[in-house]
Amino acid sequence: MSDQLKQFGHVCDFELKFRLRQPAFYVFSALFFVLTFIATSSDSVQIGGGIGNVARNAPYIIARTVNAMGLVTVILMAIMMSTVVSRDKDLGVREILYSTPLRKFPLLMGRFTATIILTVFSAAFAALGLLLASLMPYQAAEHIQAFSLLPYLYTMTFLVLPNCLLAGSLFFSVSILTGRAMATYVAMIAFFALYGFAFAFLGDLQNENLAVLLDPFGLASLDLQTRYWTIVERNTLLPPLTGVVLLNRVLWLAVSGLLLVVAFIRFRMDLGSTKGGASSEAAANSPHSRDSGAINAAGRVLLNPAPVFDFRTTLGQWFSLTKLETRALLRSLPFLVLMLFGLLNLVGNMSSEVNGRFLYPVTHRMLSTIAGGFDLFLMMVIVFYSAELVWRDKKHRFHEIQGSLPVPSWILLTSKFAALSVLILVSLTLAMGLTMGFQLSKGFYHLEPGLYLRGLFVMSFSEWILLAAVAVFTQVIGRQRYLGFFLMLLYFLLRAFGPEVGMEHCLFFFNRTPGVIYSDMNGYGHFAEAALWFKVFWALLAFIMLTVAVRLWPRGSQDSLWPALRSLPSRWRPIHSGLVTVAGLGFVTCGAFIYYNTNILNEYKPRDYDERVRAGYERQFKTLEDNPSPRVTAVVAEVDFYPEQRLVDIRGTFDLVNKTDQFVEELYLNINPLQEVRSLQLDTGQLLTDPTRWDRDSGFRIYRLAEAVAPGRTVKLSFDLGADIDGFVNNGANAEIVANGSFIDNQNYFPRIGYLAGRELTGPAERRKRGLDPEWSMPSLDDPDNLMASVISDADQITFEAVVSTSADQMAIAPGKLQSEWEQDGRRYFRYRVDGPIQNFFAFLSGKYEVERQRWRGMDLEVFYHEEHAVNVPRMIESMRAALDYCTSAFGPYPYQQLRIVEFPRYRRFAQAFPGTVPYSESADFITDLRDADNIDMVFYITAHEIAHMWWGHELVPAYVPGAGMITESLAQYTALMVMEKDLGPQRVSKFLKYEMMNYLGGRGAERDEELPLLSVEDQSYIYYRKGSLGFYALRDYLGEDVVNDALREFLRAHRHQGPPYATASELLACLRKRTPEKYAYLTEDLFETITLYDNRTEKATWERLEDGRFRVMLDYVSYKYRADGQGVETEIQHRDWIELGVFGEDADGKEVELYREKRRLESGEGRLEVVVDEEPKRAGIDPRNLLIDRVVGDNLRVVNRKSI
Amino acid sequence: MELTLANITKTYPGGVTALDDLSLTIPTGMFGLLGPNGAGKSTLMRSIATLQDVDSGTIMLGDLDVRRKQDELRRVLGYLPQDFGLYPNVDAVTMLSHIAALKGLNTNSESEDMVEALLQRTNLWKHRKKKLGGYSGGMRQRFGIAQALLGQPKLIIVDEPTAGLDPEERNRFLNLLSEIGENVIVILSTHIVEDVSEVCSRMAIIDQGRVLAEGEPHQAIEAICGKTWHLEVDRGDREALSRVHEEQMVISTRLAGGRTVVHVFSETNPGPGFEAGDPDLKDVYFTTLGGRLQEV
Repeated sequence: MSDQLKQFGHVCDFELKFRLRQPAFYVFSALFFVLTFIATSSDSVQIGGGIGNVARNAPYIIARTVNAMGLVTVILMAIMMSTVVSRDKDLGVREILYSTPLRKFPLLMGRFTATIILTVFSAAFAALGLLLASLMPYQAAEHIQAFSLLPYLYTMTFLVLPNCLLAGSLFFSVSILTGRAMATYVAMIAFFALYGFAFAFLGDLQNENLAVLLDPFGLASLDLQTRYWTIVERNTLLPPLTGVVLLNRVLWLAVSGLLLVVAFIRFRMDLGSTKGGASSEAAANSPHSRDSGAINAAGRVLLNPAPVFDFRTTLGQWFSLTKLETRALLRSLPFLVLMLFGLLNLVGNMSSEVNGRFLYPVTHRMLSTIAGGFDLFLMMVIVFYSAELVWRDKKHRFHEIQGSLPVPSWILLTSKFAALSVLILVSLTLAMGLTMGFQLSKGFYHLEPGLYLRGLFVMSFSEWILLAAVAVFTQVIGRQRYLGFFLMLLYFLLRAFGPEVGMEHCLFFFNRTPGVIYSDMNGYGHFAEAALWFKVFWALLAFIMLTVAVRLWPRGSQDSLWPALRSLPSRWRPIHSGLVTVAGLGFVTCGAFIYYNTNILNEYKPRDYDERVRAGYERQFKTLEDNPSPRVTAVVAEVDFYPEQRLVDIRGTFDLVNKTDQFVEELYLNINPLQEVRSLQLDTGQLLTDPTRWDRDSGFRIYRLAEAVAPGRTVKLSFDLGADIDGFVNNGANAEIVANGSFIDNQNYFPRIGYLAGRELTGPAERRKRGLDPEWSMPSLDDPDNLMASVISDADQITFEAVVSTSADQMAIAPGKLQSEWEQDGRRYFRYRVDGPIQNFFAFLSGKYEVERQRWRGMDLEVFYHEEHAVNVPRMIESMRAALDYCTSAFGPYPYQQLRIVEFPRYRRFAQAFPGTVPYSESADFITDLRDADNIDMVFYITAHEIAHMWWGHELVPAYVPGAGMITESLAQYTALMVMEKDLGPQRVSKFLKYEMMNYLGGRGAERDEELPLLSVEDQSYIYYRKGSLGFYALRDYLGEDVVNDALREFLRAHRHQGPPYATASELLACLRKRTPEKYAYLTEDLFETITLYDNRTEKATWERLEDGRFRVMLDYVSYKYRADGQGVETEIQHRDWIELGVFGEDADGKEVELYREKRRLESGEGRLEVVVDEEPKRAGIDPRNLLIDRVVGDNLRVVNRKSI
Repeated sequence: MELTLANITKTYPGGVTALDDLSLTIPTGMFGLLGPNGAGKSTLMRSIATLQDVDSGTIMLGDLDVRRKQDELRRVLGYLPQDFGLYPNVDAVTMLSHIAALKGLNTNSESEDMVEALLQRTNLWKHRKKKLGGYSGGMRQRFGIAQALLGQPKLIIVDEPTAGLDPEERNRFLNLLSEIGENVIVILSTHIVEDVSEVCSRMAIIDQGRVLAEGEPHQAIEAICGKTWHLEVDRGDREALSRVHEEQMVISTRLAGGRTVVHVFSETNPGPGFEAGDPDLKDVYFTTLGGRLQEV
């Protein structure tokens, strides 16, 4: 035994030295160190998260960052393990090695151990990078917390080491069982695939535990455990090694142990049989065959037809090579396995719904699904097989024969490239077949092969073929498979991180193109042109790279790059110069044209452009905020859409009233920099031609008025603005003015008056970065002046009318009732007017629409929709009716004369309520699949929500102070919940609320600044939407719908169509509190004024049969209540709150039925409850419907067991 | 047509000089290239076969500048590397037809006949449908020969071709080569002297990247005729052996029938016990390599 131990030590030592002589270890370690060092030193590069108030070296960040690097370690592991034993065979030392006294166990274990040590050591560099960076003097104190070694040790021991052991065991076993390097890489991909599956499941509430177990990296379990963590928890806690995390670790360690054992047993230290060789040799030497060979052969050999080298030969060579290479690729097992994984993953992605919402499998969604679920595999196929093709001859030691054959290198390269193209085409075709099959299986028959052709075989294919070019090029340059892979890894990392460090112009990175979004309404629209130019640009560069690669082709015995480079000039022929010159000229011309478009014709806007402009706006003009400024009281507008040219002309007149008690001497106008000002004139006769100041970035202009406007006076401002979209941009192309489905609003396309506080940056990190005071908050509630403005600061109520025109094949829409419609000069004109006041908030749309028109109480209900999107239109109309019915009876009359929904392309994904008009994105609800009645009906819900805004937000306008979101959004959520409950019943609402709970808790975890109570919510959608739903629904449950609606009616009455002072959330709260019975007084405080969480659990539930045949249920519970501060520090508070007790049984069909549900007063801590029910109980618990916010919702209910006697 | 090598030099990155200002002229016919392992034979073969470039010097095939017009040389080249493999998942006919296409033989019945003939000649006809991955070493070698002979090559380079062949196969291969070698240049690189003596009309001996001797084998043998002497000693008699080594210019020491036979080079009879030898090419080879003692 000690002998074996010595051997083990020796093998291990040798292996370590062997690996340390190779570059892989150093390269990866350096990479880990540099990446984490950079990520920890800057805000712009992030690996493990790290936002706002979470320290850069918080335990949470350390665990996530180092573990994420562990993902990359797996690649290193695969590289080392792929040859861990098979290299003995490749190097031909097996015979020698196996004939030594070396035993199997020390050999395998020694090499395995050494490899594990090295990878763990390599991953430790990630920890080291983070650690050193956190100690750097340049770190701001608020980013860093006191040094502690524990999180690093914890992460290395419990996360990285098990991952390395697991991945190592898997790869080791596969490697020695198959003896093939490629098999190890396939195992690696399977490993990543499992991880991918796990994350796909994580978004799905039902399957999250499955996700956690499935993920071999333990990242999913880490995620699940920490996703509701607050800032303080992230800064102080390490992920506990309990529950699912522990189970996951134990499970996977057991799996890896098992694999190792199997591999050890199966591995044999012999040479294996060289199959068939000996017997064939015998046959070959048999007399018969000898004779057959002897037949007068000399003459026949010399009968050789003479070789011919002409065009036909070239073609013949090319086809013969392409055929041979393609055949080898398509038949190779790893490719088939990778495809299988890819297609399986694709299937997994296809069937997953989004947040409980099911969408029809329209083709553009299938294309995105392929991009999400299949692309990674295709990418790996391309990278691996590029290497395989370049090195195939060498691998089979055929390279010397191949090199001596009269085949020009360019034919070798292009035929291999062609084989790779076939591989890509086959993969894409498989993916297409699968997605089409999925579409059909869902009963969706609108297949759109043309879109597949454009999306997969033009857009995707061109991208993949360019990737193949760079992959081949890196292999040729790298001269070794692994160096080539490493260059590819660098390429991907540069692409991923380049934009973070300012290199974000698409021209910087090979194969990058501006984003393309397909919309059913607008097709590829204007995005296609930019993408096409970039693709041509990169294709020309790829051509140059490949031409160089042909000359550097590792032909024959030419191993190293230098001799090839040295002889490059002597091999360079005029034809190469010609090709490179032509392609180079094209490349430069194309690049210049792109640059002309992105940087000269249009302003180049890096991603922080908007941030910079907003910061500059605040810095320069904040001082003007309190200067007197007139307010808009009437708008008359003429808007002309020219969709095919992407042009919009806007003319209009504002009535501007000086409502202040001072003279207005300067007029401040915000005009979209995209727009050309053709004329700007006051009815005093003053032409506004030369602003005294003009910030071209933000479009803020200051005009000195020749004639000051006296208090109470009105002036009219007429304007003529043109927006012309020329050429294309690098990113963020204007998606508001498009060929079909333009949608513009006055916030962006009409002049706005005065300093707009709404444009200020709000995030503390962004503000700090831009040198602004990091503290930002909405104007305080305490200053009554602040109640005088709503979020629309330049107007109170206005009157509105507009004439909108568009091309003959489109319809143009604006808020208000359609007054008249006519055609003139081949264009269509529409006149709209709103009777009664509206806010200064309106929009214009133009598109080719189908119209569904119905009547409700004498007014028009309309849906303007894209012809292919008719399926949910009836449901929208139903929701419109239901919401109108509910709101008019609960809150009061509908304020407008019509109601319409207008679809717009999915470049923006929301629905928004304008007076009587709701633009609604095509992104989801027009293609939501409502055929299964159990699904959450978001079509109905969102429509109702937007209609509720006609009351909450339009009739009743909140002041621009904290809590405004509670009035507009939370009340709209409440209203929509009520409308949904009436239509679909409480069960479906309950299902919906589970997602609201998850999103609220998740939103808290991602808070950048400070969580606020609902009552003082600022721009925090997870609070005013998610917590708003939960809070109002709970309140309704405790107080009753009538009571709540009564309060809302009172609140609405006080502010309906009123100017300043505007409504506040505290007034709303007062209306509610007035009607809250004493016993629930704590409730309004919990829901609206504080951050309150419960930990409600049912520990044990039993039943026993009573003599009268009924059932007594006994239930042990615990209930704790916590108050959290803005950073998430929780303090327990004692409570005696009313919490629901529920008991559920089953009906004859096994469906759950409610046996008992009633609110009981529970004390903090542990307790016992009893209740008698008529039927056999199945499940019971406290707060069964999750009315109260609780971080763990799954443990409220428990299965009831019969009490054992 | 002649192959002319003039002053070619090749130094590897490690500092090893594989070819040292080597010049050689190779006429039509079988040309034997003899030299010990590491002499630079394979480097020379690979350089002529355009698989790697030399640092300096010229290689001309007739008027063709091999270093500059690699593609043109390849059109007339048949090359059998010393060590090679084949794609495992392809059968012999497919592979040979593929190579035929690459060698400019467009697919037609003639080229099919030729592929068939070559498979027959190399004794692979029976195994033509078998995947090359299942071929034994000897079969692989024969396939290598077949592909080298495809396409009317004017220059055939075979590097250690007889390694791994059994004696009979070796004979048949050498016969095949010499049939073809009548009209074209065949360079046979080997360290097996018999290969050269049996079939080559001309030969050169190279070591450490230089040509030590060049000429026709029979002339070379004639040159040392009457100058080689044999001495038989007992295998255990180390004393006698070392004395011979001290006193005489030993060509080689061979074993024969359990006794040690020492070959020495001497203009005159070196003394008692020595018998006049009938010199063969081996003696020439070892003499040329510098009179150092060789254990064979």
